[in-house]
Amino acid sequence: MKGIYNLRDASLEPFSKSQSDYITSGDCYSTSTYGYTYPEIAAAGPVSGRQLSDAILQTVDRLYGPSTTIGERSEDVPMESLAGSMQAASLKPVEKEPGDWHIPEFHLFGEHKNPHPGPPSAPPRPSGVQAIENVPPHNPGPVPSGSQGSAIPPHRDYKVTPETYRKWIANITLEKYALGGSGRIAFFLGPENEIPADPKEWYTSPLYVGSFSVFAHHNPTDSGCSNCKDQAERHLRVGGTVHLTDTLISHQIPLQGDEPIEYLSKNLHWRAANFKDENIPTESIPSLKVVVQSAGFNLPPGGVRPVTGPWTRHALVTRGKPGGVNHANEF
Amino acid sequence: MILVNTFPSWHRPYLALYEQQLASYFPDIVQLYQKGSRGEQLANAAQVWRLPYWDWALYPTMPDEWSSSEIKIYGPDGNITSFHNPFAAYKFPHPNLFDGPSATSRDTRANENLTANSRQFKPWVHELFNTPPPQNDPWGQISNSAWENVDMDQGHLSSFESIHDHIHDFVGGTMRDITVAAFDPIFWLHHCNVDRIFALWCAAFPDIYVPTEKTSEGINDKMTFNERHL
Repeated sequence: MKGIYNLRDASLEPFSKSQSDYITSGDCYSTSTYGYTYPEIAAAGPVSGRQLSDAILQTVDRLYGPSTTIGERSEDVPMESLAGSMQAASLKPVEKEPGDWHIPEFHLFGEHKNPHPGPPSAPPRPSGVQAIENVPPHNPGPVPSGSQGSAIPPHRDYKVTPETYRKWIANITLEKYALGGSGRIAFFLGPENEIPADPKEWYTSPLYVGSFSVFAHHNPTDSGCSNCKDQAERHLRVGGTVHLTDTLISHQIPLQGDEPIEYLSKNLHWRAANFKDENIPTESIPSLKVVVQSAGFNLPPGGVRPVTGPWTRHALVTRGKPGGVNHANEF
Repeated sequence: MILVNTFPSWHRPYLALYEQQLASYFPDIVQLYQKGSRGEQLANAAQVWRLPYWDWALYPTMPDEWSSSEIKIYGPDGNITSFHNPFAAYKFPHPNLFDGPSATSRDTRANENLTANSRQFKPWVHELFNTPPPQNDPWGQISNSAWENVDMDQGHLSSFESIHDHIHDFVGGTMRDITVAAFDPIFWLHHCNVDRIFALWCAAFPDIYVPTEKTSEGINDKMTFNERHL
């Protein structure tokens, strides 16, 4: 069960559709209620139901799927070819171009050579009147330049293929008001003593992976927001996920087998900060829970599009760390 | 309107209202530009304009045009002129009436914050579509970031709301304060993208939405049923 549970015909106050009636979730399910759509839905054409669903899922794969975030590629590879190569994988791993997600030879101390020169594929610009024009192309974010004393040996032939790809995530839950308002749980991958003590320096640390952000009122009981007060009194919990896969790849850690588990166990750490960027000791957040999991892709029978699952918990990674689950069966 | 399963739907009429209010200024502006060389172009644009969205997953950093104090626009005569940038900040009309800043602001390192975290944005969005929500209250799972007695191993825990929260955090300043975030013009471009993801998701999973009936399956007894909220 999640969140306050409203029904489809509940009023969405204060937005009214007439003198006497408020708008409901049912009323605004379709964007055509307000006479608009989004480019991706329009581009799917005059289809609905399963056909529209397939079109949108393919579009989302193309815009945001793993093939768009891994390394430098000379051509986009749609998820369908992931399905094709999974079928071939039962024979033997096949090295194909350009379906092979070959990561350029990568040295953590700064230099790297790309044996497949060519411009990185830029994401397609959205078209349509809702789009923002003239924005700079997507920057996938800084690759950690490494640090002296870091025990991460570069691998010469590191590759991630559709067959060896696995998603790694950290799931986080805690009480919404445990940080005294807005704040974040920030994740780092690397030697613990290299994590900056000052939260203001976390984002620029080469070890930084990502955060779970809390968006909350800093004074729930006295603010006049009755929802906030109620949630605080009920110790309402919130949750989210930090993705670890791309960072593991940039550290050249294989995504399957024992190596990622051992690596995360040694190097994955987290810290907490509030909305003023002050460090909050994790001991003062007893409600914090962190679980690390991984999953591969599976092609459902008769399907053309791989889906994630099943998920495996890796208690070894979080054991002994603040809020980390210690056992496979622990809640 | 947070931590409720109507987080996405409540914000939709909110956006529509804002869009309607903005558009209500258009006739006067079109009139002003009528005689200049851009008059017709503007009149045509006013017919089809809708609120733009900021796809932070594809474009995680904010362009300079969103924060520079001046921007270049076409003036009523059709010539390029410099204009104070209303998008950079909202100036409160009567700051003396309350104890606070005179205008909205963002974190000085907002773009660095966004870049440092940008590796998360695509996987967050993609996972919403690639891992269908569990059978137990699927709309609740996807719509808001509350978590109560739910299996932490079912897959990712992201929701429309949790993903949206991060952008508020990274842009920072006024956007990080829940009581005044909507005064920053960027709030509207951000929430338009949240609405877009909501719309795309409903197209991808047409059988899942705010429930029509109360069921006892998976409902946490400690939760209150609210049929009216706020």
